[in-house]
Amino acid sequence: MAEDVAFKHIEKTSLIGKRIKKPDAPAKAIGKTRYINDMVLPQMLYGKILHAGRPHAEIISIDTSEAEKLAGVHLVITAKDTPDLKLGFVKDNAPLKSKVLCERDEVAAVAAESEAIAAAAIKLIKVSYKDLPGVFSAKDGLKKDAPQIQENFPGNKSLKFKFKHGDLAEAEAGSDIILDHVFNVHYVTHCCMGTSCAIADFDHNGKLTIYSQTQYPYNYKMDLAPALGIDPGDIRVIQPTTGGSFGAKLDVYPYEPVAAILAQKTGRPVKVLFDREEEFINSPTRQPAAIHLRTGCTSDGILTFRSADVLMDNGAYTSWGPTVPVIMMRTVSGHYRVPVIDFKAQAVYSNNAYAGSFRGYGNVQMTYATAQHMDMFAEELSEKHGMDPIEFHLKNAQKSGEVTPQKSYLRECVLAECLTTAAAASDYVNKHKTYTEACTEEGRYKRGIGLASSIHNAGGAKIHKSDGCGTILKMDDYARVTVITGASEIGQGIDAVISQIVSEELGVPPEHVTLVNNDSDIGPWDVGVHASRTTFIAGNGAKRAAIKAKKQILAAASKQANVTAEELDLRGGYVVQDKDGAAVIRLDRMLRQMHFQPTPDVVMVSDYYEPNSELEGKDHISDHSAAYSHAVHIAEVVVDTYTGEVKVEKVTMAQDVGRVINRMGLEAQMEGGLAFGLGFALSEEMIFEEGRLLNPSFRDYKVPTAPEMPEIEMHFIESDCEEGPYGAKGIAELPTIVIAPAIANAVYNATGIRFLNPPMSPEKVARAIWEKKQADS
Amino acid sequence: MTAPKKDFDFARPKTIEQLYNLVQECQHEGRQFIFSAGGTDIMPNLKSEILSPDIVISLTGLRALNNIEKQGDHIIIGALTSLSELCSNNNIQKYLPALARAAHKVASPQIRNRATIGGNIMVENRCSYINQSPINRESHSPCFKIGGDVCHLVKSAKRGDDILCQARFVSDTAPLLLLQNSTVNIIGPAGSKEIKLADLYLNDGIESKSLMHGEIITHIKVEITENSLSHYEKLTIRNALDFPSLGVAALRRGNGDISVALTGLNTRPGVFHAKLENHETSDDMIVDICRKANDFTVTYQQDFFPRGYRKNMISVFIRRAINKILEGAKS
Repeated sequence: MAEDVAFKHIEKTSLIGKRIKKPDAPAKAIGKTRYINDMVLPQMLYGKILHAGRPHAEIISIDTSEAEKLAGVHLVITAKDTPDLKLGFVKDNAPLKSKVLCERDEVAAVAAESEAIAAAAIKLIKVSYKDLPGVFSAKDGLKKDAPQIQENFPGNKSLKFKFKHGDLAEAEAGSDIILDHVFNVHYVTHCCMGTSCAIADFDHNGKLTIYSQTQYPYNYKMDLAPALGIDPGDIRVIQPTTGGSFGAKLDVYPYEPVAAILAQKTGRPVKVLFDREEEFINSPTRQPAAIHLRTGCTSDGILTFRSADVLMDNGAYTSWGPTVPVIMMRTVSGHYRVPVIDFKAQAVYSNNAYAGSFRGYGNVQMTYATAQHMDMFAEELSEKHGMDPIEFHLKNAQKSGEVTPQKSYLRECVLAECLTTAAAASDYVNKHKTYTEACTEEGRYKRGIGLASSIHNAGGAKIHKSDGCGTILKMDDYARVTVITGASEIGQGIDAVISQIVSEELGVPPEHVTLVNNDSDIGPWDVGVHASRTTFIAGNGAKRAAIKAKKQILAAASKQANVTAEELDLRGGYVVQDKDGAAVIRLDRMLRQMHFQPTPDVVMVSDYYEPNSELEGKDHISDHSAAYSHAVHIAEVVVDTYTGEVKVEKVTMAQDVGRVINRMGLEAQMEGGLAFGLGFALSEEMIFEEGRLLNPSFRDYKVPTAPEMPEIEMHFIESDCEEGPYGAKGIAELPTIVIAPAIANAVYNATGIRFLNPPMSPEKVARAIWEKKQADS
Repeated sequence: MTAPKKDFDFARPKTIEQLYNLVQECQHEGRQFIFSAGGTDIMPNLKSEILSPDIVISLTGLRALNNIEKQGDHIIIGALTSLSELCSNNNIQKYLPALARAAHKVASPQIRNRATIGGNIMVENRCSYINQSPINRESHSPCFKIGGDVCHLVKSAKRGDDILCQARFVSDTAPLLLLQNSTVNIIGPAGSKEIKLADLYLNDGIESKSLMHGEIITHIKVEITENSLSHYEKLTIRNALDFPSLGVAALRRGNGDISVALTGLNTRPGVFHAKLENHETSDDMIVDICRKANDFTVTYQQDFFPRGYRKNMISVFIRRAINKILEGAKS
């Protein structure tokens, strides 16, 4: 036995649930991080796009001659130079357009020596348009005489979705209360701090390297290739540090192929970078929707049916936005136990902006409706039948093992615990009663408390044929670990989580784990950052790879120590005896011994983890996620009835997280998610007039600031998910989903007014209070 | 708008003498110059090409203009004092707490660290049409403020009208300084002078200040009012970063008279008084001031909040500010 292990004993400890620092946080805080925006390649040109700035028009002619003459301009391209190139979910979009269908349409692009020359050249391009009458809402798009937007989609009808379960007529007949409302959910956008950017670079063999902020690098190649007319195999995606994404980069958008076409034709690297105004106008939005929701309930407080008819403004092109009904219907069929479901959704082309994916993915919109209906039932049942509001929720809350009409299998379901924990911690029932009584009294300031809950996939969502993630793990002679994972880091914190998981298994400090995950030529496949899936899927992959490595090391050590591998463990940088922690050999020494022998034994393992879930089919009946989770938010607000100002003072949240992995990352996700929902509920709104965005700046688009954040009390319910890593579930989207209806229900509690159309801006609230006063007197 | 489009020179003179040598040089050579104190109002306007000078002359080298001093019945505030310093200064907190509150309501901590009191009282008037990017502005016809022939707020406006441009006044600190009978010390190529702060403000969105090109403010002299109480209330959608959609400063003097000053509405601040002897109750005084304020105010659709809402909020915020003072007087 070597000297350095004599009498050394290492206790078994666990990092799971501890607070782990995000490895890139210090560099970001002091401004050292190099984002894609900061990157400059040798010989690089600057690309700039001319956007139409009008919603619907024929392009009569484009004169690029003046722009081409400008010193420093290398190339000007228009749709003529890029025929037959298509992109988008239904291939209805193109890198450059020959007809204008919305304000953001890309008409021409320039590559020049500097940003300033590119901007000057854009101004020299002369385009002659013939404006056409436009369609500016889904309703108008369906009218018989509506202008046709996309040639291949008659009647302006885009995607549609349907799901039915049970006998609706019978369920309606058996209902004592039927609620029937239309909720209009508005346009908001992601507001990433880093604006959209791509740098394209072709080598002499025709292989494209694209520096991109994408959050799905592997399928991205498949989507980008047809927009360039090249083979997906000839694309290498490198992801420099991303300044936020939140769903905004889950698709290919025209600026990316435009950068590539400019690079291809000039033979030089080309960078396209949006300024803030371009970002507001030309990046995806959250899918707006008019949700006609009907819900039935018996006088005993048992839900009987839910019927939702969703009309969506598709905008001019189809990205991920109009596919959100896939998740909306899971909420309709899975948010509480509802036996009969009738869901339909239709997207309609218009000349407005088009939506992409956005944190919450349809569930933000649908929960705003369903959670308010739950509150309306609770109010009515409490008033007429004296039913306790929490009792009503509990009666309808699913339990572990239940299966929803769409066959979501709720293996570990703790909705009831979430409800009772949040209600008890916030004293919901008493406060709700007190504020209800005070609602009709005189007084300027009204207090309210509101409860909302929701369900979301928490173990990925199998919308592609594989929802898996590959991991390659190697250890060097100094016991440093490199993990090559398919999972991207876009700020969500998988870097900290993977080092934590690998440390847990291999007994090395988290700082000794390096993550490599920003190059598609190196990393194994992963479906991308979406659906709250990364900790669950990539975390499982990293754990399985680390266990393989551990087995290999312990097998080698067992031969030396003359014990079985099961009797050994890895702790604190040592191989130890499992029973008493007695050190056997230092880990780095062990690895060197394995390496430098006649038959070298080097630790290099790989794993591909595919979650235990079923593909989302056309009938939408499948267990599409390996886990589902619930969250309950209780918001406490003060409404100034003179000004209509809603101040959220406190939010109590209880969420099923399966198991806490990195507590610091988890708390940050809760706070960040809540900020998104808060803006959506109270102040953020993209204002469009005839397809033109009127507030494309942070001055006029009101993102919440630090003082708006309420006090947050977090309760993490650990349901111990059998499939998840250490029992963890995906967590990131629920905080954004649940907060807005909780605030709406609290505002109702304070004022007696329902707000079906967010945001609840002061003017809207003040007006509604005034109108109610008029009606009451 | 990642960087200003047009290149400009930059200079930071260390003394007043150096400053005016430079100014003279610029005038002689026909170079357009602007002054910059903290620069937080200048930078966005450079980026959006509302300003396009040949040279930006920074005043931050004039160290002597960065101080706060009590002299008898007055507080003298150097024009280059940052808003952060103003918020935390002992004399300000003791004698002018409402000014500290108003300064604290400006923008964000980072901006307050750079922005100065001189800059804040000189802040350029704003309008939802002019304060946009060049691309956004180009999609409308050019307005009066950039040499055009229309106003997008008052469609019937014609060149030669009394108030040509309706860009509104947005300083958070000026209303309280006005109520405290402040004066400003000015120096320029022609020498120095002292004027009432109220006389600094003109009734036009373009020529909104009476300061001549080349003049700078060196100090602000603020009267300390014995036994007075004051307060500032600001209407914004958020608690940070926003300019006032409406701002109300209120002051109650030892003799019971109440004065109110408004910002965020017209092209210049409005000041209104109610004397105790003319009214039976404090509520009468509030009603009187609200009436005067509403008569004075012209609101346009040029803010996050709709016009009608802002108009309605004037009385609400005046009442809120005065009630806050009256509560303080009781305790």
